[in-house]
Order: sequence, then structure tokens, then C-alpha cells
Amino acid sequence: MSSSRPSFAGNTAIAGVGYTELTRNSGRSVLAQAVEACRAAIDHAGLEPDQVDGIVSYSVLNDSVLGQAVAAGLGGVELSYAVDLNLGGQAPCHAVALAAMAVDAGLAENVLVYRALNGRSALRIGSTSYASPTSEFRYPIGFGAYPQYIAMWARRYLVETGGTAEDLGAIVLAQRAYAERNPRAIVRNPITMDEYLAMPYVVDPFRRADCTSEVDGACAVLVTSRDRARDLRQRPAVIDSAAWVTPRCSGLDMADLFMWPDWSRNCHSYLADQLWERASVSRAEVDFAEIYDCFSAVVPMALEGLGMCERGAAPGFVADGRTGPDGPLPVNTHGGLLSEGYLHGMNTLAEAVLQIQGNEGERQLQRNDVALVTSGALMDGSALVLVGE
Amino acid sequence: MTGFVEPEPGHDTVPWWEALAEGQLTVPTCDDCRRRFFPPQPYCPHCGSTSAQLQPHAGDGTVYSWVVVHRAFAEEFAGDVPYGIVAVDLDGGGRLVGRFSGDPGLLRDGLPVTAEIEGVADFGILWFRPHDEEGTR
Repeated sequence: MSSSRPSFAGNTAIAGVGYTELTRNSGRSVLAQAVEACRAAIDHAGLEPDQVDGIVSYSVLNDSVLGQAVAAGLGGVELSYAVDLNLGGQAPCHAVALAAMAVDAGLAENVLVYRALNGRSALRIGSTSYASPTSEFRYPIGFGAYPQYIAMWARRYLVETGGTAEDLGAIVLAQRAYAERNPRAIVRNPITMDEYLAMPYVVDPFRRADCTSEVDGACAVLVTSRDRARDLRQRPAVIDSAAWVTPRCSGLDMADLFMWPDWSRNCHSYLADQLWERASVSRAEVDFAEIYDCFSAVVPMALEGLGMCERGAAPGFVADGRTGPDGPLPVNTHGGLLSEGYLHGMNTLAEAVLQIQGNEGERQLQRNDVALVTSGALMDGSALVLVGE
Repeated sequence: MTGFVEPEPGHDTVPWWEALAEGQLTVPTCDDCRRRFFPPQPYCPHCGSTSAQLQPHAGDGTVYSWVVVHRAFAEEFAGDVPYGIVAVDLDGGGRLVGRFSGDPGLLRDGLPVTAEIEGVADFGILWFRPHDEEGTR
């Protein structure tokens, strides 16, 4: 594995962010929402649609639209770079890295990265048993959905760290507190530990509040060169480091967990060294983190895997308020996917950019220069370090 | 009746299901590196060898992780909740997932279990029961 600094690191940036409304039933096509979010990101950056010449997207089970369709929706722009990934929540940081590589290599100048889906009103990935190369060994016995797979890993994490139900609850509570300040969040009501513990299990150890809410919507970012970004409308979020990993024993598909030796550690334990070796900043310089959290237990696995907390210490770190807005490491400042809704982590990444840009209103962080962002919960995944210009 | 959804085995997995339907648990074992793997696949994920056998296994092992399903995600299992699913480290290596036939309250790290196969249609349901007979249904 190469650990030298890739040339796009430090030379590319995210210049704009666009969202649609997040809803439980959009009543609109995925294409309409994808184009709306992409147009919003272009406008946010201060560009025009015809200046876009690259698109990267990702989807699961054909739940999105191809980049070529978005290019048509932007008024028929011509692309010199187009990638449509067949990936889910592992993808957003990786997709931005692919866009940055294209920009740095001169293949394209301004590249959109988007995720769009009717994730609530159409195919619900979180509660769907779908065919994959290894699903025949899971769904016949009633073990066929993501909440169940990741609950298995959460259990092992709790076994190995001596964790409790309150440890998962602490993450839920901390993120709900942020969600109160996020008008985009689909779940905004505060919750107490007693209320959390009184909730019925969906799949023990997960209660409803440990699981993200599926939503309809779209989110996009615009990647360009650092030099161009300096002349645009927003403070550039410079792509300082990026890493993707498909570790050994990742299995045959996104949910093939049989060969993975340690269910208490996920992809982030395996990409940490590369991520930090490629960065110009150290772990200690990170101001805040936006951690992919389809389920609560993924947060401590990622924080510990990336070296932000000692093994087993992340739940206590969260419970002590250290990931709150005034703590040393604010985490999931939008309320996380748990609260804002499941745009498969594109919104996790977008939140980091918005915080760096500095216009987040009542949830704006005071220290917003260095962000850690993750994508993924199980075997493969990706991460970014973003630094404000 | 236990909830069940028929699998659709492919080229690489039909023999495993056929053995299970005959009441025999098997684990693919590499002829070259001698390590076990799962699911059945055309190349050993440890060493890349194309040569592996489905080795019969007695089904003894210990619980590595578990969940208790309280909300069925497929309607076939609505009558089964709450039910336990266990990840079992088989004696001698290899990890499989199956239904737990004991009281979910018994589940703990390292619980000794034994596989039992319930015939259903042309397939089989892999169950694991705790060694303590008091805990079986």
C-alpha cells in the first residue's frame, strides 16, 4: 500500500454544497431531486452549469440516476469525466477523492459528486432483503437486513469493550442535541437516557433510535482545483487527505461478513494509517468530525479505529459531552444520519464542508478549520481530511 | 412453523445446500493452505487456490456474537419474533450464522452450541442449540 501523499491532496477543494429538502415522501422523481441538488451546489460555489465537466455518483440496486441523466438535466452539459459507482455508504469520501483525482490530473475542471434517492418512499435499503452473491446465507434464516448485520458487530464491540446499552444511548442523546439546531433533520425531538432505555428493541442491541431514518432527497458537492476554489464564492474546503480500503477478508459483497475476523473493528481501523500519513495535519489538529452513522455503534468504532479515542473509550468520551459543540471534538454536528436522515453519508460529508464554510447559524462551530469525515460501517470504506483555506 | 425464505443457490453454492438438505453441515476447506472459508466460492479467499472440498463438520462451536430480532424485516418471520441469530465460531475454525434454538436470555460470549439442521422444502435451516439441555425449546 502506498502511503506517500497523493498529488490531489492539498491541490483540490470542495467549493459548493447543494441539498434538496429531505422528506419521507418526496412525490418527485429521483432525477428531479438529483438535478436540483446539483444545481444548488453549482450555484452555491458561484459557478454556472455549463462549467461542470465531470460527475461522480453512487447508488445501490439502481436506486439513483446516472451522471449522464444529471448532465442532461443541467441543460445538456458535456462531460469529460463520469463515474457511477455501485456502492452505498462506503462511497462518499471515496467519490470525492475520485473527483479530486480527475481534477488534479486535468481530466476535468469542475466535478459534481451527488447521492440522490427516494430512500423512504421507494426502495428502503435498511429493511430490504435483496439478492447479492452471499445473501442466500443470510435471508433464509431471517438475517437479511442491515440493522441486523450491524447489530451483530455492535454486540461484539460491546462484548470486547465491556460496553452497555447506555454506551449506545449516549451517542443517540448527543446527536439528538445537535439535531435540535438543524432544521434539515428529520428527527429533532430531544431524548433522555430513560426514554432511550425504555424504547423497544428493533434488533437487540439496537432500538429504533440507534437506527438512521430513511429519507427521500439528494445532496451534492462540487469539487474543483484549490486555485479555482479560491476565486469562488465560498471558503474552500481543501482536500487534505483521502483513503479507501478494501481489507483482506472483505468478502464477496457489501454485507458478506463471514470472513471478517474481528466484528468489533470496521474499515476505519484499516485505513487510519494511510489517511494520517497522507495528511498535512495530525489527529491532534482535528477540530471536528463527521462520522458516518447508519447506526449508533458505528460512531465509536470509527472514532477508535481512526485513533481519535482509545479502544473502548469513545462512548464515555461522548457521554462526558466531549463531542458536544463546546467539547474538544464535536462529532456529527448535524445530528448525524441518525437524526438528519439517510442520504448514505453524502450529507455527513456535506455537513463538514458547510461547517468549514462557516455559515451554519446556531450550530456553527467556533473551531472549524480541520474536519475528519468518514464513509462506511462494515468491511470496506473511505475517509477524508478537509482543511479550510 | 419456522419462518424460512427459500435461497436461490448459484454455481458455487449448490453442493453446500445439497449437503445441508441431507442433514450434513459442511465447511469449504482449501486443499492447498488447509484453511476453512465461507461462503463456498471458486477461489480460496486465503490463498487463491482453486481446489477446495466441502468438509463435513460435527457442528460444535461457541457463540462469537448474537442479536435478538424483535421486529421482523420479512413477513415470513413475523410469527417468530423475538428470535435469536447467532454467529458461531466452529471448533477448528470457520464462522457461520444460524438461528438460535435456546432462550435468547441464555446468549453470552463463548456459549457452547451444537448445530442442528431442520429439513424444509429442498433445503435446510441451520440452528444452533446451547449445550445446556435446560435451555433448549
